Amino acid sequence: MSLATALLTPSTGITNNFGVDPNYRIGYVQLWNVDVQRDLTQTLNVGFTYIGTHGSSLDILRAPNRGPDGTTITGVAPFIWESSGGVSTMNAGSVRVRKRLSRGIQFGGTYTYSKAFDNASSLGGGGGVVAQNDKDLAAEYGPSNFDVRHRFSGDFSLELPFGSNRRWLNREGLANEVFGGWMLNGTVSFASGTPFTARVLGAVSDVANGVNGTLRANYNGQPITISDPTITQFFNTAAFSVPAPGTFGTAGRNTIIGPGTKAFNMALMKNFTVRGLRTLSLRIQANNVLNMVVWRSINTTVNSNTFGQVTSVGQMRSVQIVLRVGF
Amino acid sequence: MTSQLRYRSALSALVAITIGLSLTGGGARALLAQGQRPAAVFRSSVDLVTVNIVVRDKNGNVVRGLTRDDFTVTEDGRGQSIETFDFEEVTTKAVEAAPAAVTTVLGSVGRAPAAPTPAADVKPVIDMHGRRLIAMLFDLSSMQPEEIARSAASAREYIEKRLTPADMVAIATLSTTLQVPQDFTSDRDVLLHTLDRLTGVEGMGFEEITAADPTDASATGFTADDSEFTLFNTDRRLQAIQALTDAMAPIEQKKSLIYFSSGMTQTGLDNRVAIRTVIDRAVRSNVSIYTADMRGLQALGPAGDASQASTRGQSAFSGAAVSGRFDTMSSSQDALSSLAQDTGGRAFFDLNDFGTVFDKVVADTSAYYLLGFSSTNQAKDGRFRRLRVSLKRPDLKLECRAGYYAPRDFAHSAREDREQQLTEQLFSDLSVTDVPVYAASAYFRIKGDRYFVPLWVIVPGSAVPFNKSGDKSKATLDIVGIVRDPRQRPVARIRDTVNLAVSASEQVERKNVQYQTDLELPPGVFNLKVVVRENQTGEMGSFEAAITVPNLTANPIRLSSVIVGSRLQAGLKKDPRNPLLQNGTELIPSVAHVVTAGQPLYLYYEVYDASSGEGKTAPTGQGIRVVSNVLFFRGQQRVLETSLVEATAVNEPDRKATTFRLEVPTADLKPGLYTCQVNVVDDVAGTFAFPRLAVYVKK
Repeated sequence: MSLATALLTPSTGITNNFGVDPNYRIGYVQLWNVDVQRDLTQTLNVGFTYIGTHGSSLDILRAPNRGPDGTTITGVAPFIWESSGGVSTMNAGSVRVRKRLSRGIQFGGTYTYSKAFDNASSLGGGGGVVAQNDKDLAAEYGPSNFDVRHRFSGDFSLELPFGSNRRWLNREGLANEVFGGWMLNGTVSFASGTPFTARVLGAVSDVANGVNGTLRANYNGQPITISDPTITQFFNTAAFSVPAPGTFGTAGRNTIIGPGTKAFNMALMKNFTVRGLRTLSLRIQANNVLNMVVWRSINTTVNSNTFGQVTSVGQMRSVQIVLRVGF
Repeated sequence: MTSQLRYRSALSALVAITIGLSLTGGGARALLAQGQRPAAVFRSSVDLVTVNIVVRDKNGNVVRGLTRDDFTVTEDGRGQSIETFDFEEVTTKAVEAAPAAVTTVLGSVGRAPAAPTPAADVKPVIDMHGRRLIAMLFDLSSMQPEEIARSAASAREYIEKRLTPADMVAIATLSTTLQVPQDFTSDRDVLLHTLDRLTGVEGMGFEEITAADPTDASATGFTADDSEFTLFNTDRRLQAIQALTDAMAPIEQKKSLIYFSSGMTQTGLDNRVAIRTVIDRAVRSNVSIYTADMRGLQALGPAGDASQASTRGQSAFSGAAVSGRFDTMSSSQDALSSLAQDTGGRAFFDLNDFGTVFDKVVADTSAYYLLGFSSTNQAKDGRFRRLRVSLKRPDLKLECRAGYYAPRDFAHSAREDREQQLTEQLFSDLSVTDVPVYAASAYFRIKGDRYFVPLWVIVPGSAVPFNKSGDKSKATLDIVGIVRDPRQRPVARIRDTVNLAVSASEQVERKNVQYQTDLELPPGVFNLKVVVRENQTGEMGSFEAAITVPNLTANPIRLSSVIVGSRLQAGLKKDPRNPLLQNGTELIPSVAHVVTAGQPLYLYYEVYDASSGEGKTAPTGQGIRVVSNVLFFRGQQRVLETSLVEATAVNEPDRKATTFRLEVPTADLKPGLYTCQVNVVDDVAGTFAFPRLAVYVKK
């Protein structure tokens, strides 16, 4: 190769490791819902909702040239194939109660029970998006990354009965100025955890194939959840093991239910009118007002030293004071 | 444009009869001439509390024929004696001695959005005995065209088929402003015609009603993110409802306001204050609000409708997008629900048959007892009083309001309400003039086309009730003002509270309270409106005047305002812009041009850009020659001529001004009215000006 021909002669070493199905289709989702509402009183409303979704032609990443112990097509480099064969389905039922604002009180709550499954592991983010075994895509079918079985969320807001036009301290004066006109509101939410997949990181054949971290663990059938999860052992780690070299793992996708979430935020606010046209609103808001410890994520890499441990927690209590001037 | 508002209040010399005072000042003139407070006026006012009671038997039928003795009323647990008792029944027959077909109840509302309630404590009472009063408010700012059509159609159906001669219906619309195309009337054709205009059946009608008014005073003209916009819009809608309920307050009978809209979204909790205010005012005015969501029964498309971008991301698969839509929907109904619930009305959601709205209104207002009592608790403290009405027959059911708010005198009103009151006055078309107020301005050039404009607001001391405490007389005045440019845009605002404390030995009643502030303005004609409230009784007065700042560059000789004063005040902070302040003493102008005989009389004026020859102006002021003197005429006769004053230098180089501060000996001037002529001659350029002003010398 000389300088004059360098750019004309293709190098023999270039291989392509990614391809897209020429018949790739953009995914779509069908949604349907039934909602029944009834006003129990003029301000108290109850509703029952069923929501169903079905996703089709969802994005799915495959590695057709990947076998349990190396490439399956001799002479061809490993590659990832993006196609659109994924499906998802979700069914949710919820109960809503809503007390509309009257006499300074308002509250509402929604409980939702839902199940979501898919085989499109790329749906909704999350790691390890390449299907483990291209010959067995059915094994990819499992709970969605966002599958939350139980969820409750509620909110309330109430005018404290102090100040002008209210029950107490309604006379002009310092006490009214200071304690009058406050409003307390808050939100609560409780939800069960999102699922995680037990997997193996750094398996030799996977690294060679460019699909590191997509090999799942072996599952021996023991119960996964334990009755008293701790920070060092959140689930039954004994149920999983590293599969023998040359085999795919038997654990399904998203079989470990992660830690649930709980949140309680509150805010206290008051509006002032200052010098005619300006309004001043003072808001004291606290996130995680009870300072509850909320475990966020767990390590589900079976060959990791911290397998089964809680790896991060949610934010501690934070209080913000906001002063807002409107003019 | 700056509005550096420096103020100083001063009690200046006595004004007796003033020249050039407007009508507002006329009241002051009369009072002051007598030198005494106005005679006491004895008012007898009975605050009759009225309660409407619907009595039903077990089957829900209205019970008639009960008498006063069947009812007992307690207020906060104390028994009250029923003074008036009436059975209101709206019949389908024409009422005898019917009032005029069109009454003006909402008359003042249309022109000024958020029109204030008359502050007077004795309100005129309009008797609408035997009539059903329904005001319909169409919120054109929130409804889509098909929703407007739907609401108009349901109103039309009611008016065409079910309107009885006893019904009085008013129609109001809210687009950029609140308007009342039709005040209360029972004339079916007039109402239908008004509704037609709403739906655009008659072509131009729609535009006529919804025409945007960019100079709308209620739009304070700021752009911000969406939430601010929603906050503002919702507040504006609430203000409109409030203005209507306030306007209906004088009618004793039960009133219904039907609010047609397509939802009202609250911004977090920021609109709560406004909602609260509307509810309080509606309860006080005995108005029930019926809210109708004209979007009707909606099937929420789970993935949104064509007006929105398609749902993306995980929320579509997890169902969060769908439940989010339900939440948005219900939050847009919350405010409507609370308005209705807390005023004894009803909110109508998810309905396609809006006739039921009218059914409910009719049912609630068809037949009811109207009790009146004057409360044993006469304190005007604005507090909520709990009412309990009971019947001696236990088999009947009662529906009535749970209580009422006692009237509130000024001493009991909250600070926010007071501020609101001032603001409302400022934007009101119909101003109160209980306190005589006068305002005046002058102009001095600063540089180029910038002018220093001092503003004076004058309130006669006799109109201010001073509190004697120790050897001081004390009072506070609230002053608000707004200056608008010719395109009605506000260029400056004034907001001040003046605390007056003067020695009791001074006869404050015989003096004026003079408040001074200043602005910087370009040439033009500006509109000034000031509202003054004294904070003892809460009486207010307002004054509106044009501020004319001429463009002096066009004048051959550039002369400032001529200021007349008879008092110099020392020891004030130096302000380089204020020409009246020189050598540490400031000339306190006598705005009304009134001086006392024997007191010194000062005249102050400035000449800008005096010529130094051949059309040039000398920046150093070398070579100029401006001469000036003052003449006093009484009638046609010249009675005083001061000696010539000659200026050969520019003594205010910043402003290129030659200033004149003349002291005129007044010892020879007998009391009376004079015409004062100021002669100013630029000797180099050969230009001159002879401004004249009236001066009154009093004993």
